[in-house]
Amino acid sequence: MNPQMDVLYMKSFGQVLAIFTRASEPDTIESTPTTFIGDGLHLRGIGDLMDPTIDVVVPPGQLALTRVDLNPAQLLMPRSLRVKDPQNPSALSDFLNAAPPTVAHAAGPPPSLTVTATAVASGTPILALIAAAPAGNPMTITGSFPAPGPVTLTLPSLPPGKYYAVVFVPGYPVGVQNFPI
Amino acid sequence: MTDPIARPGFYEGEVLPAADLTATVDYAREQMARHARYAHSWGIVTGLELKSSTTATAGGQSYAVITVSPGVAIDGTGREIVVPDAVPLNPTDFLNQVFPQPDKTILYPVFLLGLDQAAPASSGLAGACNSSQSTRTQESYNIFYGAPGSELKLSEQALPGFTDGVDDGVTQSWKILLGYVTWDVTSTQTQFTGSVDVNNDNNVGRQYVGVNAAQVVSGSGALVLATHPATATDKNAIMAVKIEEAPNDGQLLFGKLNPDGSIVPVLTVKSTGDVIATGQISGAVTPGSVQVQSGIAFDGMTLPLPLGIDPADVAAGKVTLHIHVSLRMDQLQTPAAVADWEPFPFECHADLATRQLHCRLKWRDMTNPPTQLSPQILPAFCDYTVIAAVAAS
Repeated sequence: MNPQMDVLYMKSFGQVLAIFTRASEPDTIESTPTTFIGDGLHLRGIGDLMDPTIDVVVPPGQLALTRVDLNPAQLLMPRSLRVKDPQNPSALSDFLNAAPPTVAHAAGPPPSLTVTATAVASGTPILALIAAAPAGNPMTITGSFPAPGPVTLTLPSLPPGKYYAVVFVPGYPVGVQNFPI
Repeated sequence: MTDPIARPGFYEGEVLPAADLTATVDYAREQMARHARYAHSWGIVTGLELKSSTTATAGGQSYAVITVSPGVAIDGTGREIVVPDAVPLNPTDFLNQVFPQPDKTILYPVFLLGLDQAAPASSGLAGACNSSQSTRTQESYNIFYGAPGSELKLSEQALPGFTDGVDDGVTQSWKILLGYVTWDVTSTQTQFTGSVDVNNDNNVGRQYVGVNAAQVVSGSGALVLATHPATATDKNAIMAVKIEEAPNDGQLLFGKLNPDGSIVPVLTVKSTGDVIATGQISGAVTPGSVQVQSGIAFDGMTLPLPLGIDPADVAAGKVTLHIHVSLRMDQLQTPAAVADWEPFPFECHADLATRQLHCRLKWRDMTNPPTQLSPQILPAFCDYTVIAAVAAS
């Protein structure tokens, strides 16, 4: 059996968030990633890279686990990878030079986020995790791009503070933007 | 109070009425039934399989012809049911008894029950024997269909009392499940579409006879338990356990049963206590043992446990974890292509309670003056070792 590496990725969107190896590999991969994420996978080192307190927890329901052949060139750069097909996650790829989606905040009312992704197709789904800075469990907002061009996500009423929007679009790296309320 | 069982007896010169003669037959039959009812569990003894063969109309529409193979069953009252010849299932009977639904995957149970029927009266006899009354009872059977779900709770059918006889199929009956048929209401053919032995939705299938015994003792020096007779032709492998004596030894074997009755052992337990397994032994972790897992892991995730270690046992204190992590400092990806980045350890530890990994580097732009935002604190990889010490008891 070839050495394998286990990959934690966004179930419906494909972005790889963590990779790990096990010297003692099980005969079959676990059916869910629960054992490796606990109450959620902690994303750090996003947004303000100089702020070590940023910690966004990706909910377990958004994550999936797959196993691929060990590739040393991919192993140590998880966040630059995606699974080629989230429904059949047998291979990893980079983002083919796609830029992360950009996120712009409008104070409103109502407050909203406008997300732009280059050359995105109509109907492409989008998921945004909105987390209070510096750490906490985020709320989830979903939608889809109505046409090639930006999509506006309306935010619920939030108490004043600093927030992070972590945005997932299939085929694009993770987009991150902080904004005040 | 129930009367004791009475054994028929006769005396010289007695005028034998029909009831006394019938009692002699019933006594033996009911004794056999009690043995079948209490020393065994009810079910199919042999045969009685739903054999399905696919055929097609002249127009090319396929359907299934289903036949119940000959066989024997013992019902829950101890009645023996013999089907002497193959019986084709009749689609007209099915439509008269069941209202099939549009979903063609629905399984309709097929039941067998014993049924007493008076044989035709004897004829051509002389004198008082030339009666119009029957002198035989045919121990016949009935095959019928049920609605989906009617196969449930068959084991809860009403048992007769200890002194009661077997059912007659009229005043009392006992259903035995033979399998299931399927039907397609959209087909122009009023025919079955297939058959199966087990409903995988509720795991209810054909029940075979069993033995109620505290001891099973062989007089041959060997005892075999097998899932089918050795010569049975079945798509599955026939598995068997054999306990056998030897002059100075004995052993227990488990493995596939060959048609000649021999076993290909994958597990052997000798009388000396030696255990020989040809495959891998896995499962529950041995008390007092130490299990290890190691590898590379990324910041933010939960460290893997050694194989076989249950997180619930860790939480319950039955397993003690010893975790070592160290930052992986080779093959690092710098924050950006430009600038002179140097990595410094920022943190590297795992939460004892959650095994969540905290593993980050602080990257500094060593250019003077720095050309990038610096320092940057980024997630990183660690080499980890998790040692699980399983409590001895």
